Amino acid sequence: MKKIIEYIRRKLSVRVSLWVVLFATIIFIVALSFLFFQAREAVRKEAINRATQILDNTSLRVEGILNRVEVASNMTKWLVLRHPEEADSMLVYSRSMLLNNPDFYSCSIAFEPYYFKNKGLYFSAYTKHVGDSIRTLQGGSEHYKYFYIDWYLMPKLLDQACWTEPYMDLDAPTNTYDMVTSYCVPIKNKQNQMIGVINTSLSITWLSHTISAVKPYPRSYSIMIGRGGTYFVHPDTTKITRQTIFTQTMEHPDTALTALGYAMQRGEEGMKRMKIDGEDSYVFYKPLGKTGCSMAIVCPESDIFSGFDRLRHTVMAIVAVGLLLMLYLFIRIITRELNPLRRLAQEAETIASGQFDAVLPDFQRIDEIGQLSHSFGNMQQSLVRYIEELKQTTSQKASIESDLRIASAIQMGMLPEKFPTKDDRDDVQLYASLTPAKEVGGDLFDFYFRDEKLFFCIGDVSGKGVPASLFMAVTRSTFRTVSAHESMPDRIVTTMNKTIADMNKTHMFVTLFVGVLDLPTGRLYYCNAGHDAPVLVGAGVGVLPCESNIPVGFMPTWKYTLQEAHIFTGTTILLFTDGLTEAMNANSEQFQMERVNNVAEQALTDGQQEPQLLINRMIDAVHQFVGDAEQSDDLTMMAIQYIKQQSEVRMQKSIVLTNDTQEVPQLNAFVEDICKTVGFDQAVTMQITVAVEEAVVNVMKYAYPPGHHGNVTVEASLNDVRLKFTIIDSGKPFDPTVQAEVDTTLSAQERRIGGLGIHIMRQNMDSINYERMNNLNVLTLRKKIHNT
Amino acid sequence: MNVTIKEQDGNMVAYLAGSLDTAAAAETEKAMNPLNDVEGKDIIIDCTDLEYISSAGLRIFLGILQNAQEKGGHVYIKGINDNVRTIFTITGFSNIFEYK
Amino acid sequence: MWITLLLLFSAAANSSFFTLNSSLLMAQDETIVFTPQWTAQAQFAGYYVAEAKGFYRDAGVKVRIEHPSATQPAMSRLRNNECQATTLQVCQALEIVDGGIPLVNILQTSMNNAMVIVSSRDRNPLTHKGARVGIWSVGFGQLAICMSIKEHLDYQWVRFAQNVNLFVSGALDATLAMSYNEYYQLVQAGIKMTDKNVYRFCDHGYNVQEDGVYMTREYYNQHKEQAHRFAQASRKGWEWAAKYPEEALEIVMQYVDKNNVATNRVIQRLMLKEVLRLQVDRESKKREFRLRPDMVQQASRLMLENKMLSREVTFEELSK
Repeated sequence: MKKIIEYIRRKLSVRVSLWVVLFATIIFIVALSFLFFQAREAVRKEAINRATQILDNTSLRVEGILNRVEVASNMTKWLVLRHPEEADSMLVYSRSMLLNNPDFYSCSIAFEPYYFKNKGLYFSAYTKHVGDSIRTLQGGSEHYKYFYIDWYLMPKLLDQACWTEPYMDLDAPTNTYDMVTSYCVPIKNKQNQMIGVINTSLSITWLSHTISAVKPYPRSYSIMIGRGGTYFVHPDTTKITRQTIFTQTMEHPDTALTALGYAMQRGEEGMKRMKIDGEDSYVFYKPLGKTGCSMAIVCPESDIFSGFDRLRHTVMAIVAVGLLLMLYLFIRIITRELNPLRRLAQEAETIASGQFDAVLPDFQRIDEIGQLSHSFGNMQQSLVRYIEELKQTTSQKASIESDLRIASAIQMGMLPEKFPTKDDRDDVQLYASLTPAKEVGGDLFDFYFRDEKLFFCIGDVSGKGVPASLFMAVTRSTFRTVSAHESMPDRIVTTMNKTIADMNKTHMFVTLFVGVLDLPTGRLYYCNAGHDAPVLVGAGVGVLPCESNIPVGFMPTWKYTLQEAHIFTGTTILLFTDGLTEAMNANSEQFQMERVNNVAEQALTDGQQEPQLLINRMIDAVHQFVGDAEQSDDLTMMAIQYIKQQSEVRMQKSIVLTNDTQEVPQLNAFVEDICKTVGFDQAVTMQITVAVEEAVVNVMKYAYPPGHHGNVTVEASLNDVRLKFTIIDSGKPFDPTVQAEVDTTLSAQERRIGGLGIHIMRQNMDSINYERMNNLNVLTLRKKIHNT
Repeated sequence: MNVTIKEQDGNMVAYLAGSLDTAAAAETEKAMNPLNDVEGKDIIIDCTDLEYISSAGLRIFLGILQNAQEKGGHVYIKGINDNVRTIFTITGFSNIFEYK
Repeated sequence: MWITLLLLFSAAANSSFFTLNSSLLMAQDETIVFTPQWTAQAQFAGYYVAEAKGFYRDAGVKVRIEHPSATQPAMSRLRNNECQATTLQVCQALEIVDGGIPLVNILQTSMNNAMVIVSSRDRNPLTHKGARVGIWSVGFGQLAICMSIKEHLDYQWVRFAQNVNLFVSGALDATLAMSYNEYYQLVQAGIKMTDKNVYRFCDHGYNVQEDGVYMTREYYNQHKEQAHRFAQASRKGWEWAAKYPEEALEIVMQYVDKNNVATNRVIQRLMLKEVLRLQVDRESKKREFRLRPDMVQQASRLMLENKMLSREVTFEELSK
């Protein structure tokens, strides 16, 4: 069942056909019902008319004969009363009755007992057909006491003429029974005393035959009952005279049959619909004249309506077959009409599976299906085109994305990943974070240590995305390149600006903050190029005063200014890009400087000004503020905490030399002596000696113009950790630390004389640092004492 | 600072003794000058007694080497002590000289 | 139907009606010809059963059942020795014995009176003074006449051969009927029976036995053994019929058909049931198969009172 419903749901053709046929069926049912109802009524009326007509005809016929009998009897009675005393005349009257009316069965003129004194107890003039002749005889006898018989008693008791109940009379010669009924007229003398009865009998065998033959329908039949309900005509001959209409109701009460019996007994005329022998039948009944008998025609309903039923069944069969045929044809036609749709669906399926070049069938139709097919073809073509475009775009995008991913990785790779903490260094710890808004960003930060200086920068390229990232890469590498040879931020930035501006055709720019933190002293040199001023988190929270200058990349000739500050131990410098202050939430509100300060102050209060803690705290605050809003700009922060603890000086010695290299042995002796004091072994002592010699010789040779006398002071100081040599001269500013180093991998021929000195210094000492202070060149060389 | 140059086994051998610091460099360079004239012979610089060397000394070594190599000669270092060798190593000089 | 009815016209008690015109051979000693009083019907089921089931044969008696004919009513056959046994009602037997023919009751089947008066138009027959009441032309009505006299009903008796049509046509105000026979015929003719319009004699002090089997005393005295066996076998037939009424009805219908009697199975079934009911004594609730002296005496005195008998016929006169 489920399968059928599933099938119907799947097949439009079946569904549409079923609807159509369903409606057709309803219309047919209504129309046919009405038609059948009307036709049935007509048939019923026809049946009633037919039966009524038959009954009327039969009744009329009987009436006619009965009337003759009655007239003849009355005539005879009149004759009898003319000569009531002449017994023999009675025989004549009786005989002449039959002579005059040969179709009468018999005639008796019977008298009361001893009416004719000479005739004894019985006298009945009885005439009867015997074969072809008519015989008249005296009818009463010891064996036939007629005055106890119905025909005699009935008129006598009722005191009027009457018809007796029919009876079967045996005709002895032929041994056949005749159904006979008698008209009995009482004979009364002038004193109104009843003296006898004239009995005129009539054979109604013909009547029973006539009635039996009444068969308006093949299975209908007629019955005739007498006054007492006795059957005189019935198709079941065993019932005739043996049963009455009530007999079967005595054992099996049947109110309908009983009612019919009473109605017929009462001489009523009518029609009843009832069950007879278990079959619905119509019974039409009518009394037969004055005989007291009643005739009925029983017509089984199925019989009356058999023709009608046949017609109905035929029509219904035709309609049913027609509807089925209609259903079948509809399904076929609609299926055929919809076939293109199914093919279209299949093709669509094929297209959906990815075969866009599938060829659509051309139906050559202009109806809706044709239109659909056409539209579908257009759709397919468009689809193919779009898919092709999409493929290209996708592959391009994928390639770009892939490139971007690589670029992002490269960009991130550019940035320092390892951040020194207090576990790594005793002078500074640092942490930075860069979160690009897109795969690649324009923010940058960088730091590195050279000698005993921390070079760092943070910057923000105008714009975002790939152009910004390229610019950022340029900026960062420029920073590295330039700062390798320059130790002063203003000069670094100025050089970078010149370099970048020269090649900046896209008019991009970068805000930049470059700082150099002298780690031994905590002195910070910095240059700001249009960047946000860093926040200092130390004793309190404050902003590092910054001259804004202009961003890098505009004006190649701009001279950037240098600024200086002293950073106390424990102070954290928080640098950031405008991605922090301008971080936006869903309501387009910005994070703003105020919140930066609040977070920094809170961190300070909580003792969490260490770089990583501070930055994480700041990032959390930003995330909380921004919520689900999309990150609008790159967010970069860098925090630098100066943690250098100044050590106690154990020893301090100095020597002052002139700018004559011949004083080198003096220097070397001084250095070796100090090394010995500190306890360095010979090898380290020699390394330190060579390094200091190189530094001092440098000053001797180049600090002062040739021929000019100048001094060079070498101070040695020792604390618990390091041995420090400070070489001071008043010559022209010269930073050996930014000089190109010798390439130690070159062959002898390729190598140039020079550059070896600084290389040896760097290699032999732990740190080398140059500062220009008070018009003095101050070079510091340091060597740890404990690692020896 | 003492420099002794001898011809020995067909090679020119320079014996260096003492500290070759910047102060001694000019004198030493002068003393070593004959080596620049050597042709067809290998030069051996015996550093057994060299106690100290700075970049000024290294420049002399480099000059002799470059000169010798131009002529197709070899310069060998001999008997160098650990301390001096360290300087050679950090400066890359250990790579350009041959050793005996 | 008249044909069969005509057979019985002369079955009256009046002996002067009998004429000796028999030319038949006398029954042989060993064969008892038994003539029931009426045409074949369930009223005589026991005898048919006894014959059909071979009870007579088993008892060693030869019995032939011959129904009466128009010219040969039962009593006439008995008198002419054309039959040796017949059924009679007690009142009839009393009349015949009073008339000078000694009879012996060899088997009494009825223990109750079956006569009723049915009034037309739903009226109590006892309140219908001067009514025209049908009565059998052949007798049977003795108790009714006695009752009407006693109750001063002044009935106008109408002797009939057949009462159903007269009653139905309205020619009679009331009619006598046997509860097992005419009563059902009237019902069959569409007459409605109510408590009001049916008067049962048995319920009003006239419960006199009816059917029994009689022989002339003369024959009986010569064939006592055979008579006894015949009576016992007949009784056995009745007892079997009481036990297997449907089978008995089947046998009855065979006799009905053989004799071409205008009746039907329904009527016969009802008749058999009623006849069997009447065989159960009211007091003992048993089928006693005996003549009750009290009933014989009651009937005899009632009839004597009403001049139907010239003397009281006693129970002993009828007894074996």
